[in-house]
Amino acid sequence: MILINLFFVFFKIGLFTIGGGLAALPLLQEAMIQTGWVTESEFFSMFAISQSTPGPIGLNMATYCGYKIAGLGGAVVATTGMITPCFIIALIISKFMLHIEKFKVVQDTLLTLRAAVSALIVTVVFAVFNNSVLTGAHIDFTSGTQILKFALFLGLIGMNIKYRLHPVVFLVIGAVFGIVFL
Amino acid sequence: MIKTIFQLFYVFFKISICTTGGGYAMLPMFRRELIEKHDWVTDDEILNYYAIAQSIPGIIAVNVATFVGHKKAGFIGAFAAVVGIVMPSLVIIIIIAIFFNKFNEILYVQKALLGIRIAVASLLSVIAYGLMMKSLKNIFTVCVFVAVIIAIVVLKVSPIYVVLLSILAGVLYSFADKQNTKKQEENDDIN
Repeated sequence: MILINLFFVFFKIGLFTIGGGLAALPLLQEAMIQTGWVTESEFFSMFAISQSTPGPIGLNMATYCGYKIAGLGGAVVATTGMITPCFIIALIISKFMLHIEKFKVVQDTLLTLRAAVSALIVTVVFAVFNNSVLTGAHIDFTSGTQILKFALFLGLIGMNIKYRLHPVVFLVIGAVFGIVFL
Repeated sequence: MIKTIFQLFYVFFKISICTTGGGYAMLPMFRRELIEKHDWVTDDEILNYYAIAQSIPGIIAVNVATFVGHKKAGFIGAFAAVVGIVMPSLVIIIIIAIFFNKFNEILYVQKALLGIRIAVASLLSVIAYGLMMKSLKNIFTVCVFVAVIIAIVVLKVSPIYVVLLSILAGVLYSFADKQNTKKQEENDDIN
């Protein structure tokens, strides 16, 4: 019974998540904390882990919450529930994409959406930057850790532009830097 | 056919397991694996998929996997790609959930995660800059871009409304543009 309930809760979250896994965060927070399934502190440690482990954040969060609520079965059911609406909708779109893509109105809408999406991604960058490099509410240049974090951030951007290395290389550098200096 | 399906599973499994920080951080992996290595899609197609993935419900990576999988091998291809994306999350997170308390006590783990998050921020910045430069093609798109930033950061509008309004703006722009073109053609005829 709990599994059926879990499936529908995550189906709903998947259906109303527009703009990727990060947009699922407020929906998840509401569904998990208000029902008393997960405590608030648990929820935010889950988010930290989801952000730092492989895989899409939304899927990691769903698996994690599902596991907390109903063990192994819960993890599978929650993840399945979360991806079912997007899988069905994306399939329908794939079927008709080839045909609707030719219309001028669709092309113009995609042009507009692309600009909007890149703006959304820029705002996500702000959030991630706040969450990782700044961590505090304000910039404190007297803090050694803060300067090191900035140095890592800018250094990796420079490396990324100059040498087009595999993204995993940057994550490994980040991890080693974190262990040694932070 | 079976080879393609297995390849789809494997490539998306690899993309998922090699990506930290969510769907946006996956873009460079998508580019590398799908465009440079396998030549399954073009750069424009990936950007289109991202735009559509943003405007329909769901997790971006799952949507993109469905699109690419469907393009290569129909329904089964889409299913294989999605299972590939989901599998690493499921396995890794379940293992972490089992050991979470012990895992988080290790100081080195906390420090490594801190560094990884900064690396994710730097990767995202470069992606965002690239996408921005590619998507801003005329004054209209620049206006949309600025409006969305203001709507999200200052007005705290839900991304759902931002996307719905962008669709509306795109449709209106299309009709306005069409009428302009018509007028120009009429003027050309007169001349």
